[in-house]
Amino acid sequence: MAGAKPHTPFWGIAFLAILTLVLPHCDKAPSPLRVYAAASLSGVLPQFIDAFRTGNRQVRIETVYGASSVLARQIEAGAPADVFLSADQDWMAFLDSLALIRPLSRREICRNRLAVVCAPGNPLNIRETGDLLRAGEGQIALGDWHHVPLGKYAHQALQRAGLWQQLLPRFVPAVNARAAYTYIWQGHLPVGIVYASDFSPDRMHLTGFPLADSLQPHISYPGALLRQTRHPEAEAFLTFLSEPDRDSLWVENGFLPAGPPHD
Amino acid sequence: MTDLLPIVALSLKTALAATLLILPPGVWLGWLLARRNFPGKTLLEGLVNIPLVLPPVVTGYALLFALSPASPAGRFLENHLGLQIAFAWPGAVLAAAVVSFPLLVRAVRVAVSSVSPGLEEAASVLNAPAWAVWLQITLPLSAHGILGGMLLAFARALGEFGATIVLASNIPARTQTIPLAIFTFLNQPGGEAHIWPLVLFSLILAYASLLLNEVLIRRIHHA
Repeated sequence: MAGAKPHTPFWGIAFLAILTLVLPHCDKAPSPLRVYAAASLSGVLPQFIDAFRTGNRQVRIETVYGASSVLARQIEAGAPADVFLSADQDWMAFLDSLALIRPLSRREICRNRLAVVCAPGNPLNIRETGDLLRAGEGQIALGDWHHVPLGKYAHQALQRAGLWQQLLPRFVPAVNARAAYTYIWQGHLPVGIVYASDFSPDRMHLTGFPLADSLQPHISYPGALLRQTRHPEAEAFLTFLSEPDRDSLWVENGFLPAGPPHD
Repeated sequence: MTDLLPIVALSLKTALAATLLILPPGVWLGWLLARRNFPGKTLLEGLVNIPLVLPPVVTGYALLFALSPASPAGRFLENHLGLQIAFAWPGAVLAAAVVSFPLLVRAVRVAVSSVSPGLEEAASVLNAPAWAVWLQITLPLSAHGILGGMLLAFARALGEFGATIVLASNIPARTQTIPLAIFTFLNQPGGEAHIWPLVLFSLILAYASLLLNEVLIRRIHHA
C-alpha cells in the first residue's frame, strides 16, 4: 500500500533522514578547532577566543566545558579534541601517562585561588573560613572531591585548616566548578568553596572572600595539544593563551597569570 | 566490593520508598483514568505522563526550583515539618518517584480497564458499597497488573540519574545511588574495578523486574 503512491509520508521522511545523514559531510569549511576546557574557564575563554579570532578570522573554535575529570575521561575514550585545558595537573598527567597529549606542548596557562562565597544576603553571616564551623547545619557546596579539581583543592585547603572531617557531613558535591558556584548564585545553598575567578564578574549580590594565603593550594591550569590533533591553529591558540601579553586578561577575570615553576 | 554494598542498599531503599510513595496516588489516578470521564481528563493524562518524555534533568531542575531551601515551599517544609528535600535523601526519593510515577499510572490504568465493568455493576446491583466493590472485585482482579506496574516503577526508580543529581546531588552515603556512584567512579582513573559489580547488579535487577512484569502480564491475559 505504501509503495502504491509516490507521495506517501514514508518517502518524505526517508528523504529527510538521508538528507540529515549526508548534509553534515558536504561541509566545505575548514574543521573547527575543538577545545576541551575546565568548566571554571567557561566565563573567560570566550574572551580569549574573540581576541584570538580578531587576528585570525578564518578559524572556527568549538568549546566543550565540563569537569576536567569528565573531559579527561572523554578524551581517554577517544573524544575528538585538539586542545585540552585542565584545572589541575593531575588530570593532565593522567592523559600524559596514556600518551594522549604531546608532552612538549604542555604548559601552564593560568593560576587560580580558592574563595568562600556566600549566597545573596550571606544568610549564615560568614566572615572567615572558621565561621563555616559555627554556621551550624547549613550545607556547603564544593566540587565532588573524588574527581573534580575544585573539590580536590577544597579538600586540601580544609584538610590544612583542620576543618575537613567536621564539615564532611555538610558537603554537597557538584559535578563541576560552575555547578558548585551556581548552587550558591541561585541561592539553593548558603555557602560554598569556589574559585576566586568564579564570583568576580558578578559579585554585586554575593559576598565572599579568598581563603587565607596559608590555606591556599597551588592551583595551576595546564594546557596541552592532544596527540591526535592535526589542526593547524591548535599550537597558535595554546601559545596565545599563555603569552605574557594575555596576563591582564586573566587578571581582569579573577585568575592569576602563569608563573615560574612552583616549589 | 564491601564498600559497594551500602551503595546498593541505599539504591534499593530509595527505589522502594519511591515506589511505596507513588502507590496510593498512582492506583487512584490509574483507576480514575480507566473508569471515569470528566472534563479536563486529557489534560490530566498529559500532566501525569510528562515526566515520561521530559528530560529527567528538567524534571530535577523544576523540582529543585520549587523545593530548594531558597524557595517558599522548600523553606516551609524545612521550618514546619523538618523535611529537607533538596540535597538530601528525601530529594532522591522524590526525584525517583516523580520520574517513575507515569509508568505505574499507565500500568494500573490498563489493569483496571481489563476488569469487566459488568462484574462491578453486578456487585453494585447487589447493594455492595463502592469501597467494597473496589476492594473485593476491582482490586483483586487487577492486582497482577498493579504489581507489574510497581515493578516497572521500581526498576525505573533504581535507574534514575538525571533528576536525582540535580535535585539531591551526589552525596556519598546519602543520595549516591548506583547510577550516581557509577558516574563518580567513571570519572576516576581506575574506577572501573568498582563499576562492573554495580553494572552487573543493575542489569540483573532491571532484567528480573522486566521478566517478572512480563510473567504478571501473561497471567492477566490468561485469567
